[in-house]
Amino acid sequence: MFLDKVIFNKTKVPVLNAVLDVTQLRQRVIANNIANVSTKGYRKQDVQFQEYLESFVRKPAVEGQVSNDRHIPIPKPMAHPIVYEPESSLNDSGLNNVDIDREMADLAENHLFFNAGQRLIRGQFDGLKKSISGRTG
Amino acid sequence: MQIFDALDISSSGLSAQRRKLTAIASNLANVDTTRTDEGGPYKRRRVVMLEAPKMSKFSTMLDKAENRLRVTDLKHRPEGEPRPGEMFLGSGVLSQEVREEPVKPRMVYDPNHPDAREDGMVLYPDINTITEMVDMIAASRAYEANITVMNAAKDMANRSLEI
Repeated sequence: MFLDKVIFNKTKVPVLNAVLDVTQLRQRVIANNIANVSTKGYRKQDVQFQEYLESFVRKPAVEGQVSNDRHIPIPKPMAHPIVYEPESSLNDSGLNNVDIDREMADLAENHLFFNAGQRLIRGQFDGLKKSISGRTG
Repeated sequence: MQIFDALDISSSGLSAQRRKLTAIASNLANVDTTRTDEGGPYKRRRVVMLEAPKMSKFSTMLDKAENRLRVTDLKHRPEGEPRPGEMFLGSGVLSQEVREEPVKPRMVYDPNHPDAREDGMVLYPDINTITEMVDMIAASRAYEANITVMNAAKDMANRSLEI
């Protein structure tokens, strides 16, 4: 989209967008782990969100300039975050490997991370609004 | 939508844990029940949790493939492709209730009891109240955990409306 290229891609909106997406995905995965806390044989899941977000902000050794729609961006950001099943031993109940304390901590962390992303993206949009209207406040 | 998926998953967890609490309440209420419709002492109710089918499971894929609209022309749009990474996501928990056959019914000698056998023994269900109480605490804690997740999901949805 034209507007994307001239306005949004010059701000932090794309990476913050990825932050909000990946935290929502992780929220879903954690919700599933907690819902299955007493399911026999369930294997917990997690999202590789750090690697995914790093692929947006890492300064690459070689960077290709995209001057045409048909160019492939170099380096390519990761297409989507990976959901995986981390190896861990059974918990105390012996039913599955969901550690409820760990999940609740991850949930709180994820929630804060989402809030931070939301506040930052709002700041970005407020900045854009100011620069469009040309006045402060 | 993804944020509502999280609510659905948590609500499946809530209903499964509530079902477990109902079964425990019934077990505790029937701890001395010697007579049931199907005869014999009360059989312990037990709720078993199952993982809801994942997208990547063969049966789910087959179900989807059978009902999928076919693309026979280049101008056709493929029917709803799964979102990236969705293939491996779970979709909550299912619960199933089973009636346990009593392994070792509690036997009490009481020849005047209306349900006493010929040898004067009365069969009571083999429900261990301590096990039930412990299960009850575990279930109510799991219920609370699901509520916390649900509140987090709701807060996230609300905040994303403020962007």
